[in-house]
Amino acid sequence: MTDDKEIRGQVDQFVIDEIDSVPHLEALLLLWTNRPKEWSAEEMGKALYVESAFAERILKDLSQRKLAVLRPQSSDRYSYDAGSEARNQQVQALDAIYRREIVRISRMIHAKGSPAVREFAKAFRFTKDREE
Amino acid sequence: MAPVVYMLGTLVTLACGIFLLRGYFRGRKRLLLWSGLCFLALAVSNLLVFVDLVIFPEVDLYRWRLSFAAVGMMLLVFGLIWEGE
Amino acid sequence: MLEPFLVGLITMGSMTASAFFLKFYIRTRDSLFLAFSVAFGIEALNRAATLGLDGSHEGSPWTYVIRLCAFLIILAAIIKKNYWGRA
Repeated sequence: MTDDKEIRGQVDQFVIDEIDSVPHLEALLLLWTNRPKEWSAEEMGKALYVESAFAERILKDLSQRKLAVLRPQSSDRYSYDAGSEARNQQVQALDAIYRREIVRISRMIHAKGSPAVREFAKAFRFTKDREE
Repeated sequence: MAPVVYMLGTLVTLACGIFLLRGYFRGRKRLLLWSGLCFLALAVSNLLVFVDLVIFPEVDLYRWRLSFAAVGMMLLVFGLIWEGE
Repeated sequence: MLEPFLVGLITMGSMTASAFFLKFYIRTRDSLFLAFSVAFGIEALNRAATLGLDGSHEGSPWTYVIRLCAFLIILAAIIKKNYWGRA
């Protein structure tokens, strides 16, 4: 039981640190559950019911955070970035928990505020921390 | 004493500008670009105060000092409205 | 004629920036934004005050001391962000 709590805490921290919005989260989970499938912006847009330009931005953001990787050789499609085992475990835990706690996690994401504002504050950190 | 004050102001704004532009090149969030440029313009404005009053006291750079500061603030306001959500 | 206009622009810009930073502070609780808000607020008042002086363009030394205080507030917040626990 305490294990569960710890896992939830880690998932929450992952969401706080890396997830910019609910569509970002949904996109990440789509990439994860269908890996190693490669997605174009259009395909992702259809899956998320958003415009492909928006989906393109989401995929770009995810690849900047090393959650997705661009595959230029397959005409700019993206797939899940399975580089880090620790990352994989976090995303797996997120996948398990999200469907059960969708409201709580979406609320948490919305409480974070805009990514640009967070980046502004982050820009003034020059000491190494767990962050960055 | 006064020149030190002018230079410190220049250094703080310059540092802010550099942090923000560095952050922009990392994350590509445009708010950081506009605010970074703002602080650089403010740094120039502060530097010009030093140049105006200490180095070339016979020349009046007041308009230039104001212009750089005004441009900087306009960039920042534009950036905040457009990207600040 | 141009100079008071520029001072007005700077004042208005600083006040607007101060308001935005205050909003960011309320949302994120990050004291860095509070520092920016206060600093730009001080600068707005500072700039507006220069309109009351005669047009010597030297400015009162107080103008620069107050400006320095505004920037020291920002500097303090940056230092706090990096060396004093979280945010």
